[in-house]
Amino acid sequence: MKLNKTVELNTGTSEDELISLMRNNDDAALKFVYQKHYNMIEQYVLKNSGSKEDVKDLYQDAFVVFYHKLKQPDFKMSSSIGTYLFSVAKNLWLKRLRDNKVKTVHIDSVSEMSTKEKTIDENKQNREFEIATEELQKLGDPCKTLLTEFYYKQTKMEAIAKLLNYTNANRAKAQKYKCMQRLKKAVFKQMQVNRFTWTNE
Amino acid sequence: MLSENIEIDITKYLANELSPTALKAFKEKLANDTALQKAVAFEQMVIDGIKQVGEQDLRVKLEGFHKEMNSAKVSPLFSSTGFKMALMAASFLLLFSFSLWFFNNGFETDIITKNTPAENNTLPKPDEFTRYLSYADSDSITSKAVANKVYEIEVFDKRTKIAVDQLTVKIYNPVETNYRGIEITPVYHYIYFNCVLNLYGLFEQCNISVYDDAGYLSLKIDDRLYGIEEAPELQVLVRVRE
Repeated sequence: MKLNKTVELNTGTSEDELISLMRNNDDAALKFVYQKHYNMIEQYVLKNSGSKEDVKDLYQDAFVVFYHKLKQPDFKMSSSIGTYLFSVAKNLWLKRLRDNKVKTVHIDSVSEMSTKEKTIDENKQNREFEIATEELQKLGDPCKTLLTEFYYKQTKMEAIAKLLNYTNANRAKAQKYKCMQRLKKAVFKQMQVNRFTWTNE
Repeated sequence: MLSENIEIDITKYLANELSPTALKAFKEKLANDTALQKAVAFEQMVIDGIKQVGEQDLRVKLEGFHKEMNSAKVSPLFSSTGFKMALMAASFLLLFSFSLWFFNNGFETDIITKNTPAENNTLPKPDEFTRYLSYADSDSITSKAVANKVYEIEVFDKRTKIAVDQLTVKIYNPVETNYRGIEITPVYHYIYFNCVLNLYGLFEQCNISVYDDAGYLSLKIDDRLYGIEEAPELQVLVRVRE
């Protein structure tokens, strides 16, 4: 489901063009950029005590950060894509290395009681969050596509209308409201069931 | 149960779409209304869940790109045992020939004539007039830049005089490393191909230099610094494309 015409991508394709295509959810551009810059990050991580598996995880995390940034309407790229990806990956990697060191120090210093309380609270929040994602998966299309396009990819209503064959943006907007209502209802219902289960355990 | 209007207000509030007056009224109500607070938190949690699903979908897509990239790298022919053995034999022969060549020519100081692999955007092969400057002998190799020219940097092993791609020395993409964190680079476009870094951009009146910066091979464009590679035994060439 592409919103834009297919463009042949090669090393001569300008970065502005690639960015514009990615902003419009062009999968070919996404793939082209992902594959183009992988080696650069791989060299860096492998050289800095990382493994092949680390490279993949790190690069994908960096790519997700880049993608989120790209989707922000006021975000302007003032460097090349490669430079941006490299700096994000490098910062993430250094943070990961730092965190690994800190973790070993912290485990002893945090009290057992506060850890337990924190874990129960976090578990509950995580479960509620899981319910929301599960219920969205259950809703399926077109609601899933519509809601993720709007909230995650920040696609404009006009483009969503085109993508899902609605007559116009207002029709898509009304459908989004309905989908959101259905999802909230389903999540709420499931949370009630879970609460009942928790109190009986 | 909340009214439809309140629900719409919550959606608009979370999307920053309320007018200043409506926002003020909504915030006042929110401060004192526990049910509304819960409803806002609930809607935010649902939106976060949607975003999470969106991110999961993106990660699945990236995983697909990754698999495709890896399968393109290793074709069945290259992964077969026979091929691996042939490759080992070829490597051994290559190493043997290289050693012979090295003992015959390795210590001469002639101008380097070997070049990195050619590509459309790289410079022509160096000739006898090509000026190679020793990285070890000089702190800085400076070239006065001209607008809209392409600059190419090549790195050679000083001792063997073989282009470093054959020795698997790597050059990073130009990332500013001034030891105070990474900032945005002014290079508009670059192509990194094996050991060759081509720089494109409006470098009018810029000084481009390559030098040793605390053990790091660095590229400097005017007063901005880019890390290239830690490489103590390298020779560097900076040329302007004709």
